[in-house]
Amino acid sequence: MAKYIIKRLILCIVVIFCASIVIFTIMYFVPGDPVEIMMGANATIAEKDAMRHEWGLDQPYLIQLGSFLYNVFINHELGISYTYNAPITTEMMSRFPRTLFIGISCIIVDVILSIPLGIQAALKQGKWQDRVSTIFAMACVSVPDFWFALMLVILFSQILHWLPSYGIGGLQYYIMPIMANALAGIGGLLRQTRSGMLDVMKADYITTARAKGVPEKTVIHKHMLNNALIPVITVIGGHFGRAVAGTVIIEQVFSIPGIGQYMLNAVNTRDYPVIRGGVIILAATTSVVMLLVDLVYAVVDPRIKAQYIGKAGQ
Amino acid sequence: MVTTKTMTAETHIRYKKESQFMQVLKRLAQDRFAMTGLGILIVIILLSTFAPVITPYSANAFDPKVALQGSSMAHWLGCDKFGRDMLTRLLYGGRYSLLLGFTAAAASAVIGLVLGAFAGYFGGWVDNLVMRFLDVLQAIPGMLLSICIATALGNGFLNTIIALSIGGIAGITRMLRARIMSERKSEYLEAAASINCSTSRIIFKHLLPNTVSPVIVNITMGIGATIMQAAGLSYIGLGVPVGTPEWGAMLSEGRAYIQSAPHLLLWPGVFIAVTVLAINMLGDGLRDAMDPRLKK
Repeated sequence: MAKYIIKRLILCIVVIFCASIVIFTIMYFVPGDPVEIMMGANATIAEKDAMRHEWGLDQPYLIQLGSFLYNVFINHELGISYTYNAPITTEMMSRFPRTLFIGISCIIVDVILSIPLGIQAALKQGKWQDRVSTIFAMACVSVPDFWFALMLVILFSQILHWLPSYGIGGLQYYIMPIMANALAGIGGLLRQTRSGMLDVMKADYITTARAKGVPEKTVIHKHMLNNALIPVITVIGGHFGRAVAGTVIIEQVFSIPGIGQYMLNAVNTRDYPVIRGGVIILAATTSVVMLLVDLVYAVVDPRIKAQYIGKAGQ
Repeated sequence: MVTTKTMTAETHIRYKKESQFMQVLKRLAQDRFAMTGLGILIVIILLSTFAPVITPYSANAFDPKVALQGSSMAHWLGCDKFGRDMLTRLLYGGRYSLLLGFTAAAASAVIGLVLGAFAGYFGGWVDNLVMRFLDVLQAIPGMLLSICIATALGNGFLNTIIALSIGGIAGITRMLRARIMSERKSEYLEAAASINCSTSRIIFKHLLPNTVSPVIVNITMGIGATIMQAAGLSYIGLGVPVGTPEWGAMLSEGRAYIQSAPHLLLWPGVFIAVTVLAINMLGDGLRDAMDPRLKK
C-alpha cells in the first residue's frame, strides 16, 4: 500500500509540474507587452527596458520557463503581480481558505442532497419519485451556475431581504455562493448514485440476502448502500475540480475575495502572473484532492486494495 | 389470423434489413421526453435563424426613450440600457450561443475522436504519449483552462471556440480509446487487415463506426455544457466582444442593473437554461435509444 501511495504521490507531482509548463506556455504567448500596459505612454523607452530587464521579460522563453519553474517549485513563489507589484503567493494564501471553504462546502451539500435522493430514485425506479428526481437532476445541470447565483441575489437579497448580496462576513454571506456552486454537482451526483444503486440491486448477492430472509431494511442499508456508494466516491473527486473551478465566477458574482476573484480582476488588468498563479494553485488543489479520493477509494473497497497489494507484490 | 402472421413475418424481415442507425432513430422517435427536447431545440434554432423576419427591431438600434423599460406590448421582454429590444437581442443571441456551442463541441469531438482512435488502435508509445498529455490537460479544471486560453487569445468568436473546445477533448478521447481497446482484437478488423486495407481505412471505415455510438451521447451532452461555458466566459468578459448580443455577454451587461432592471438578468438565463435543458433531454433520450438495456 505504501508503495502505491508513494507512486501516486510522485505521479501527482509530475502532473502538476507538467501542467505548470502548459499554463506558463499558454500565458507566454499572450499578445501585448505587460510593461506597455502598466507603464502606459508616459514612460520612456529606457524606463520600459529597465522594467523588462528587472522582470526578466527580455530573456528567451526557455530561460523564463526555467526560472519560473524554479521559483514555483523550489522557492514556492508564484511571481510578482504587475498591478500591485506585490508577491502573488502571499496574496493567494490569504485568499485560499475562502475558496477552499466554498469548494468543500459545495461537495458536502452535493453529497447530503443528492445521495439520499439518488437512493430513493433507484428504490422507486419508474415511479413518480424517480421521474421527479430525473427531471430535477436534469434541471440542475442545465442551469448556468452564475445565472442561478444572480437569481438567488434577486430573490433572497432584493425581494426577501434575507441574505446579504455580496461581500464576506458571517456564514450567511456564504449561503448563496455555496447553493449556486453546488447546483451542477447535485444533478451529476444524483444520477450517478441512482445508476450505482440500480447496478447493485440486480446483483446476485442481493437476491441471496433476500432469499435468506434478511429484512428489507438491512438489505438496503448493509448490502446495497455499501456497494453502491463506493463508485460514487470517485465521482465526488471529479466534482471537486468542477466546484473549485466554479468558484471563479461565483466569487466574482458575490464579490468574495477568494482566488477566483483575484484571478478575474487580473483578467481585466491583464495581470498575467496572477492568472497563471491562480490556475496553478487551483489545478494543484484539484490534483491533490483527486489523489486523496483515489487513496480513500483504495482503502474503502477491499477489492481494489487487494488488487494493488497484488500488483505491489509482483 | 393468417394475414397477421405474414404481416409479422414481413415486418420481421424488414426489421432485420434496417441499419442499426435507423433502429436508434426509431427508438428515439418514440421517446416523448427526447422528442420534446428536440422540438424545443428546433424552435429555438428557427427563431434565431429567422430573427430578422420575426422581430421589427434591430439588435443594435439605440432608443434612449425606452432604456431599461420593463415588459410592455411593444417590447415583450423589456429593453436594455441603450433601449435595445431584449427579445430581439435574445433571438439574435441564439445564433452566437448555439453556433459557439455546436462548433466548439464539434471541434473537440473531431480532435477527440482522432486522438482516441489513434491512441486506442496503435497502443504502445502513441497511446502513452496521448494519455499522459491528457492527464496533464485534465489536471487543469476545464473552465480554468478555457479562461487561460481565452486570456491568451483575446476576445473574439473564433478564439472563444478554440478556448472552449480544448477543454472537451480529453473526455471524448478517453471514452473512445476505452471502447477501441475492447474492440481491437475483433475478427472484422483482422479480416479488414487481411484484405490489405490501409490503416486509415481500418480506423475510419471499420473501427470508428463500430465504437463511436456511446461517444455520440457524450458529444451531444457536451454541446449543452459548452453553451453554458461560453456564456460563463462572456459573462466574465473573455468570450465574444462586448456589445455582441450573446446570452452570456447580455448577462454581463445587465449585471450593473440588478436592482433597477432585473429583467435584463432574468431572460438571457432563461434562454440558456431552456436551450441546454432541451439538448440534455435529447442526449438522455439518445443514450436510452442507443442502449435499450440501460432503461430497464
